[in-house]
Amino acid sequence: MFGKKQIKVLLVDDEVEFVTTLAERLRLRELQVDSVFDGTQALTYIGKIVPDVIVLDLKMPGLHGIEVLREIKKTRPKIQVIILTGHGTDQDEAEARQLGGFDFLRKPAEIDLLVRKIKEAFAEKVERIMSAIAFAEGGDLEDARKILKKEE
Amino acid sequence: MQRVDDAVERAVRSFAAAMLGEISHELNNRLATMRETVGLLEDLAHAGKTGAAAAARAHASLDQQVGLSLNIVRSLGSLGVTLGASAGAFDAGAAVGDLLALTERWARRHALRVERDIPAQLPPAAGDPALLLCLVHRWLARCAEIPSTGGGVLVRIAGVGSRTAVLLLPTGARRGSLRAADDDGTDIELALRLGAGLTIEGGGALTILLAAAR
Repeated sequence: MFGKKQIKVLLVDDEVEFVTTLAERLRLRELQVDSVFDGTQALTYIGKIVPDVIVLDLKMPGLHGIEVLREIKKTRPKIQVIILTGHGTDQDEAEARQLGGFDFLRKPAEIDLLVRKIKEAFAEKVERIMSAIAFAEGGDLEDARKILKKEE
Repeated sequence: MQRVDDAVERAVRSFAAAMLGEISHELNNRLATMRETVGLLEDLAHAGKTGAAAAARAHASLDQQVGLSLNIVRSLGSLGVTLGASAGAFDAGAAVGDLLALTERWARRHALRVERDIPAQLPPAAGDPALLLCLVHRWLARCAEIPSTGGGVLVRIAGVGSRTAVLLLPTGARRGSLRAADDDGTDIELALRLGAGLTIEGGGALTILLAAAR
């Protein structure tokens, strides 16, 4: 129904070399990737472009990743967020999941694992939209509306 | 008196632990970058693109990351020495080279230019060059709220009495926007006890003083 859509990914990490290399590897795996280097840039970016999935570092200058995640979920809740950090504590992980983060990975992560998580995050988002369509087709517009409302 | 010494000892250890955290974060970032770079080279080889510009860039990046990692490993060893005993004399020129590399990396990220005012010959210094780097790294990380237009950072190194001063000074439009790292100077006192002398001047400038070798 959706055809073969290229997943739009935004990488947010202050390690320029790391993020540039990771972006290149993800592009070789047919993902559409952009990068920004701090939380403020990420929030500005999603004000203009809405990626499907954000891969977000925690320890960055300026806004901490948890604050960025909180803001993303407040303004663009349908964007899936995967935390990718070298220094996440168990408390960070619990907080990220509570805020609606899709998954929490530790750096360095295997590229195949990261790609799988990105695809799973995207699939979960599509699945929700599909179920809303199914409800709508079945005439249950109220439930369809509720599901889509969560997506807004 | 004993109680004061114990408090200082605890503070020094806590400060050293924070430094260790910084070092660990840096090392993990370098290793993660190297791992991605090796992965990219494998990807390019798999795609038959080993001669691509991306491959050349990856090799250069690996080389740079290995160099940075060696510095960090040196920092770990040095911090161990610092915690156990006082640090000895070191080559100020090498330390300044590392410090410039670190500052330039930070400046590039913030689209700042780095100016240099550094004498060709630096006197030998005493203290802990690794700790100096950690401190500068910590301060630069805290100074990230710099506006995104114009300006630069001046790195000035000069002899001040029996010490060598390393000055990071915002220039142009950015002057005054570089925040002082610690208003209460706590870090300064602790850093002095750990062997890296420093002062923060008014107006947001940062001066690091390396004690002269005895």
